[in-house]
Amino acid sequence: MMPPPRRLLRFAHRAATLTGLRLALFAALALAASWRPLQQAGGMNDFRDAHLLHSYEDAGTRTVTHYGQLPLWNPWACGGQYALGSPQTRVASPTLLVSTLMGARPAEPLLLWAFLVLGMEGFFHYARRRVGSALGALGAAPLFGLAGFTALSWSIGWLNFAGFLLLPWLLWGTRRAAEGHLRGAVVVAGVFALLLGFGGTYPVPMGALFVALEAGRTLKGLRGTARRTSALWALGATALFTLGACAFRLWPLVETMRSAPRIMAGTPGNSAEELARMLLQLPARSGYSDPGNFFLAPAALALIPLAAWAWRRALYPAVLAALCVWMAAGYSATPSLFGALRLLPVFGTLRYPERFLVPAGFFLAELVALGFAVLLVRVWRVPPARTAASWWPTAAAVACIVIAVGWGFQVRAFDRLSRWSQMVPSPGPIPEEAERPFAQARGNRWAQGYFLALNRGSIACGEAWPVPMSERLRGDLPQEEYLEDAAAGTARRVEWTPNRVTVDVTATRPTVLLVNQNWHPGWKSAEGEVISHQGLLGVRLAQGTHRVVLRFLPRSGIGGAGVSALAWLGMGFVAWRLRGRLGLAAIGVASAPLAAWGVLLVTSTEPVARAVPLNPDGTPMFVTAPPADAKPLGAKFDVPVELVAAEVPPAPDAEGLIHMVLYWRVTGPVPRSVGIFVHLPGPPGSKRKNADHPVLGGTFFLAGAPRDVLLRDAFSVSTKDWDAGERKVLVGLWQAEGDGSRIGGRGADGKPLASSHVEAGTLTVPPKPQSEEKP
Amino acid sequence: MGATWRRAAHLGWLVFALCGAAAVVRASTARLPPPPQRLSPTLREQVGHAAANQEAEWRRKARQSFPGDHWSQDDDFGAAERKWAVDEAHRRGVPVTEVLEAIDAELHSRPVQPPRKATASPCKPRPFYD
Repeated sequence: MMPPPRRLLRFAHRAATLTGLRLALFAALALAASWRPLQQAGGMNDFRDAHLLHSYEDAGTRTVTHYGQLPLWNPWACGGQYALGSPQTRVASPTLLVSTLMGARPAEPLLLWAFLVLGMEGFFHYARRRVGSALGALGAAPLFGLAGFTALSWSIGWLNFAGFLLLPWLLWGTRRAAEGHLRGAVVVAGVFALLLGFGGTYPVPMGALFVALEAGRTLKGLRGTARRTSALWALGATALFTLGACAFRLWPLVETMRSAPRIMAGTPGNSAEELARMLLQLPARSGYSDPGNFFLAPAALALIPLAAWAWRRALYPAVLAALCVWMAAGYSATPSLFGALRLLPVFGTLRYPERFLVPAGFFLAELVALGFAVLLVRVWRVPPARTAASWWPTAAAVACIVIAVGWGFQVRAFDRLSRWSQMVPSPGPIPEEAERPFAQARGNRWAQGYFLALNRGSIACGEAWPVPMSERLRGDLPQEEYLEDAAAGTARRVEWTPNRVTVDVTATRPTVLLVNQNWHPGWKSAEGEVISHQGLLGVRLAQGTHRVVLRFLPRSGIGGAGVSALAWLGMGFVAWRLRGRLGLAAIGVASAPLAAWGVLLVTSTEPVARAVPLNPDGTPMFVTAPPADAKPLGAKFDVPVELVAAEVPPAPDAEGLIHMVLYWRVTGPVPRSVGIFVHLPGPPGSKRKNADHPVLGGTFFLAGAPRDVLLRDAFSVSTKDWDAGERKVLVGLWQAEGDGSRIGGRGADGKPLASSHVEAGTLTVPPKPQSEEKP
Repeated sequence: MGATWRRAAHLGWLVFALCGAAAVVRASTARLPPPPQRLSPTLREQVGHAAANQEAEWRRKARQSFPGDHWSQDDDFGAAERKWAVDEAHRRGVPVTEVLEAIDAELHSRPVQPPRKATASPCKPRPFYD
């Protein structure tokens, strides 16, 4: 008969391998962690981001349930927005079904619970294959699955960040795919499609990064050229299937981001101490704390040193965890790995380096699983006769207790972080269209959730990217559909739905029907010609009586869905006719949807929405020449950038504001780190003022600015707390994201610039009126 | 798989289903109802006017905080308006939607004159926040 520790181990191992028992444990832990969110289901999260993100889901749900349409166009946000092209919406995910069944608000905590279970189960599958122990994987799964960041995300309305919990499924699928299993390819394609549909702005690019590394790790682990070659074919087929499966969302996103690119500057960073606190410190009771935002129970991490016994297996997760922490340090680390990553396309828009603590936690949890597994193997290897004398069984028992305590701490930290949520009463049911017809309001992005409940769109928009919007949108119109020339006839709304608007028009002369929503190339009409009227949706009509039916049928959304359907059919074909083999033939099959995509791109015609670069004050960024009253400067810097001219007013305006303009020309490649400094030194003893900006007009890095055109860079400063007196305006270039050094140059006279700056002008700040001076 | 383990697996699935059911029931039965009161037509008009009277000052402050940045100015104005609306709703014991509806109705009631606006600047998030 086996000694008790061995029996116990065998029993625990058996239990861990039973899916039902394992899921019961994960479901119970997830329920305990999400108990508070579930208790608050149906309430409205009053945090500003939650207002925006939840209103997307609310709008999508309303489009399905009230109008029986797919959530392609969201008229309630930003004056009308392409729902599939907006990166943070969740409406292209199957989770929308839960929202439609339960209501968007009650569905959120339920989805949170489901994601927690999925995260733990995914980690179990991944870690079991990587560490070779079901029990080790089971012990560490809740550490990753209940990591603090998911709770924080829930609290501030970022449910889309729960997508991070599917990272283990991606890595597990990648390995299985490399081993030639179609199931792996299906999981990778399905999870990426789900994440994209779920608004995974960070989980998708970060997932892609770790999938690429996992593919390399798996390839390295394979022996023999033949196996590696077949793994490469399998990974190639997986990549192609994944691209096809994601087309329904990827195409709209790429199209939208090309017409409205997001610029992310700044040098965010976190010290080692800050990172340690984020990861290891139990969050405050109130939930209002940065420490613990990525909590991972430190007690359980004590098992990591044991992983050294299996150092070959520990090497990869240890290196990856270290790299992730380095990445999370952002620009506080020198050199900055995060800064290097930002040079890559897509990754350049990442804003918060500390989010790399999520994958860091994942790899640390893998090390915990490995350490635990090492301990269990040691116990197993103790000869039965020496069990009583060996200390390994005792160590294993302690480790089990530590793991269980770790789970408890994870649940507690999760609960504490979820207290951060600012839940307020729900604004109530959304009125029916007939009862309260849709109209745009000026709105308020800080309270967007309330406007949907009034069936009002919010023109005021607070997205993380420059949503293409018309300046002609209004929140005070007597009717939402009207003729440009009111004297040219009448327009009467017949039917209004999110994706279809019907208007009867009687025109006594040719005119333009205007709809108080943004134009998008996806809007079509059989009657008249759909046009962008200063960004507003318009239909050019001839004289006469017309029934205009505007339909939103975007090529990228509908065509992309077709491509994705073909990709899934292709995977079905590989399973059926190729017996699941991911070889050369599978690559051929996987290429077919992409070929169809190419044909669609070439053959279907739809106007292209072009980005219109504007300064923050709404003025255009491209001009042919500086105005006559601008001061010519003609300075050339040691990077291919010219400062052509400047406009500096002699004094602030009546509100104490100074509006300046610099005219730049970029003639060649410039490093991304280069930014503009504008120093305004004043009289001796006065406070130093500046208007440095690494991004021209809030739109272009010098590195990404169009070449050989004149760029008008308008910016303003307030002189509210400035000392009176004359100030020079000194302009130059510097390594804004580098070592801070200035970049030299030559003036119009060809002489080197003194202190590497150009004097663009002078201005005089008048003394403040007596009433405005500080006492 | 022995009979004991089969029973254990079945029990596991049952617990899993019960946890799921508990989550569904808890999510669908939780309620946070808004205050039932409504603004009378007269009060609605008063509230709308009160917000309109504040607008010029909110916008002036926004211009100082974000000179030359129209979207940020409108956004800052929105933050001030939202805070006022929530406070006003609490003060009067009505849902926030009532106050926002009053503001919307006031905007529709007469032509809006500068510095007030019935429009919003196109979204142009600032390039850095750190």
